[in-house]
Amino acid sequence: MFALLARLFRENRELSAFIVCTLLSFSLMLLPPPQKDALSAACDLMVRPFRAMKRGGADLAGVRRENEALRSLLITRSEQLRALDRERAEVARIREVVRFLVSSSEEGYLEVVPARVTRLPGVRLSERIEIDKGKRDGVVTGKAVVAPEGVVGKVVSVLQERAYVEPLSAATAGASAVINRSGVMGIVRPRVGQSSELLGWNMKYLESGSDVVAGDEVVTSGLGGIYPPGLVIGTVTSVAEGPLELSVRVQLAVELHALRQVFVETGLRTAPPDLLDAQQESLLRELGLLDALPEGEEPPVLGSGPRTGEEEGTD
Amino acid sequence: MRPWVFALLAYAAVVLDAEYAHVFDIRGVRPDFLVLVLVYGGLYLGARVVTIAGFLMGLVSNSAFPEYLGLSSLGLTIVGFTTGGVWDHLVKANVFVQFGVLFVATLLRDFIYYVVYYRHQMDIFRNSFLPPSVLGAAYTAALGIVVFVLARVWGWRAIAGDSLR
Repeated sequence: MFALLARLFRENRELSAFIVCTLLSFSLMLLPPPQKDALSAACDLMVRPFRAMKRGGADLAGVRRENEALRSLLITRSEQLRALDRERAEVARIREVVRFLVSSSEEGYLEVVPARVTRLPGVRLSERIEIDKGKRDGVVTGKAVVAPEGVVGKVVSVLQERAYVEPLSAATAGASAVINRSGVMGIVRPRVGQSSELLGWNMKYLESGSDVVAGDEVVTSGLGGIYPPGLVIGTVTSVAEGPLELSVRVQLAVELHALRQVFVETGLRTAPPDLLDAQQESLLRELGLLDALPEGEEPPVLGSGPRTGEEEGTD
Repeated sequence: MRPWVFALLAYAAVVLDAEYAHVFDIRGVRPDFLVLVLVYGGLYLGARVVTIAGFLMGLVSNSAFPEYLGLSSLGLTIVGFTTGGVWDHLVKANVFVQFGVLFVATLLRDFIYYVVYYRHQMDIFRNSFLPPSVLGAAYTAALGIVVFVLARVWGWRAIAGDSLR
C-alpha cells in the first residue's frame, strides 16, 4: 500500500504537490489560535524588515514635512524681523526728529520745514543734496539746512517743489564756528585733496596758543548770516601747533552719506510757540522726550526748532 | 527563469503585497502581485514549483492575519496548480491568453478567500467579492500586458514567444 502510494506520488509530482499543499493549508486553518499566532510571528519575520523600513520612510517623510514647515516659518519670521528692524530704524529716526524739534531754546524758536532727502552727494561728497521741499513750502535760498545731529549745509537753489542744498563738504562751503567750551572762533572748511577728493574738515583762522583741545564741540557762531548760532557742527579730532595758527581737524557731526531727513530754516519766531495739545503731549511722553524738558518750560509745538542765539548768519 | 530568480521575485511580490500595495491603489482597487508572479512563474517552471511556491507565499502573506492562517496558502496553492497546469494546454505567448489567465486566476484566488472568509454571510460575500475583485482582477491582468510588453522589449521568449523575430 505504501509502495503503491509512493509510486503514485513519484509519477504524479504536480498532483502530489498540490495535495500535500492543500492538506497543509487546511491543517494550518485548523490549528489552535496560539499555534497560529506563533507560526504567523515566525513568518512575519520575513516581512518585518521592510515594514520597519516603510515606517522609517514615513517618519523621514514626516521629518521632511516638518523641516519644510519650519523652514517656511523661518523665512516668514526673518521677513517679519527685517520689517521690524526697518520699523525700529524709522522709530529711531522719528525719535531723533522729535527730540530735535522739542529741544529747549534760549532766545527764540527756529521755524523749520522738515524735508526728505531725495538725492545724496556722491563719493566726493561735494555735489548738491536734493530735498523734496521747495518754494511752495516756504524754502528760500541762503537758509540753513540742519539735521538732528547738526549742520548739513545751506540752500543754494530752490524750485517749486524741490530745492538743492550745498553741503559742508562742498569745496566752497564754510561755516563760522566757535569752540563751545572756550568760545574761540574760526571757520570750518572742507579739506580737499589734489584730485578734489574730500579729506575732512579743518577749523581755520585760530591763533597759535588758542584754547582748543581734541574732543571739543564745535558749534555755529552765528556770524556770517547763514547759520543760526549754537547749531552743532562737529567735534575737534586733533590739534597741531603751527607757527602762526593752529591746525585743527574737525569731524562733522552729520553723516552726509546717510542723510534721510533734514530741516530747512524758514524764519525765526521770537514768541513762544503754542502749547502741545493732549495728543502730542501723550506722544512725547510715550517717546520719553517730555521728561527731558527743563522744569517749568512749556513744550513747543511740533514743527518749531530751537534757536540758541540771535538771528545772524554766517557762511 | 532560474528557480532562485523566481524565489526572489516571489519574495519581492510578498513584500510588495504586504507593505507597498497602497502605492498602486487606484480608488481602492489594487493588483494582486502574488498571482502575477505565480502565473508567469508557472509559465516557466511548471505546476509543481508554483504550487509549492503558492503555498509558501500564502503562508507569509497571511502572517498579518493569524486568525485565517492557511487561507491564502490554500487559495494560492490552487491558483498555482491550476495555472501551472493550464499553460500546457494554451498558446502561451499571446497577450490575450495571458490577460485571460491572469484575470481568472485572480478571481479564483479572491473567490476562495472570500468564500471561506464570509462562508456564513453570503450576502456580504457577494458585495465584497464581485465589484472589487473583478476590478482587481482586471488591474492584475492589465499589469500582465505590461509584463508582456517588457518581455517583447527584453526578449523573454517564454512570455513573448517568437513575435520578436
